Amino acid sequence: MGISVLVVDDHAGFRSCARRLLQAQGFDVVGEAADCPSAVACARELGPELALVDVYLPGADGFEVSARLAALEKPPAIVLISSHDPAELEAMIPPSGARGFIPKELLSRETIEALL
Amino acid sequence: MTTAMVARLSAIAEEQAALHRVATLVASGAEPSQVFERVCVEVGAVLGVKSTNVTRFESDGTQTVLAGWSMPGAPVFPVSVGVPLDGDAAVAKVSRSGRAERVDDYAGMEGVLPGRVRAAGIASAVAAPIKVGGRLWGAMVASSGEPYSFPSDTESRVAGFAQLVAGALASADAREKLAASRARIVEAGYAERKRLERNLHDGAQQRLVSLALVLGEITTKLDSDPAAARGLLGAAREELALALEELRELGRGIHPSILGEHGLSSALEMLTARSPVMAEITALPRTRLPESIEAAVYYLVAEALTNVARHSAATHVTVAVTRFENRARAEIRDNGVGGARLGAGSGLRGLADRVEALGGRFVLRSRRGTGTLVIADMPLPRT
Repeated sequence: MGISVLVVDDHAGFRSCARRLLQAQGFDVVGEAADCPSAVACARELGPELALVDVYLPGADGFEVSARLAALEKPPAIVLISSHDPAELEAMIPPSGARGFIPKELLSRETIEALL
Repeated sequence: MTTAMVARLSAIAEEQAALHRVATLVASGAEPSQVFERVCVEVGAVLGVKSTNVTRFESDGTQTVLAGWSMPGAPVFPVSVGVPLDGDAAVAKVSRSGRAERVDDYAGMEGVLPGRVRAAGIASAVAAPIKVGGRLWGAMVASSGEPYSFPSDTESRVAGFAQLVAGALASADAREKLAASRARIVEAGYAERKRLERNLHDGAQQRLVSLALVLGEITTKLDSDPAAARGLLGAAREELALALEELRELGRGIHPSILGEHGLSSALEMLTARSPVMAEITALPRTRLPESIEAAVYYLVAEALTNVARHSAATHVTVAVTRFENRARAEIRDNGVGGARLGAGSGLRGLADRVEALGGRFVLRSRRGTGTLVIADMPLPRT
């Protein structure tokens, strides 16, 4: 079985495309969440090895979600994703426990493994 | 020349000089409060009276005494709010008649205001109306501690100063409105950019991200599952078509290309054809209007039709655009419920700001039950 993944993004269309791509590339997508509370609940319940977290979420943003996930007893590896300008975001990424950042359109096994 | 004539001429010269000083202060863009105080001082000096006031009539039937001046030791009505306008006090009479009025002796006059006037030590007064934009705004008052203190021409002389106060108020009011309208236009610009960014991000950008992921999936499956990969190509094309449609829609919102290429008539026909409420164009100019005016009319009609569809419950709306020699006029009239208002933050306020920024006039008539009529009358820029 591949690495277990939780996808945190408020766009349902993106979540389903990402799920199909990741499954096709050998990942095991165990859960999806649209905001911070459900992301934390899912991670606690499902214990994924990896969480892909969108930076811009309604309510608490991706940085805060990362920090909350990183503080869990069995924290997943966290990778931030976004469709915003990567140059703008890389400068912004605070110490939130995330391994790094992948522009959404470049999401793939190679880009993820490069950060793990 | 007799001594009396010399005295009279020098009094007129003094009055003109005082009027000029106030006018200069008004023209310098002074705050109304500063103007009120100066007017009180000048009226006192010129008319040789011992005390003066400027007061504003409020919508609740009271007055606000905004400024006052008096010779040392002379009685003056204090600057105060919520002062009643009852009885036959000079100011109360002005508030009812809209004309200059006088009281030669306050002794024995009934009412709360006359009582307070007497309590301030005032025995006689002359008051003249201050009218702003045709509306009775307040009054200029000259008072004295002695009864029968004012000669018969006092009314017209106080009225001269009252006119200047009105001028100051009108220009301060216009300045304030202009500044507010500019600020709203700038804010609307920011809000519009934010909305566009949001729409781009949530719309076309998401579609393209999904497309990238689907292409990734296709690449992955090309060898292992070619049939599935072929199937995904259809999904990819669909995603791309939707992204294109969303970009076009967004482009239309920024500037409809039909307007530039085919002119206002075609653009308005497109708008009315898309209107959910039956829309009819009843007049169109035969020749093209200047670009800025065509754009203004287009957005006016677009916003008005959106409002009609959202709020009016109308079954029919007409659009008429007429060109005159040096101006253009657009009218949108519906048969809906009426009651539309030009409130802050409403789309109509933004339209009015844009029309006024082009030097035009925006009119909204929307009494409940009589439908809504929006008129924009704009001067054509000189070519």
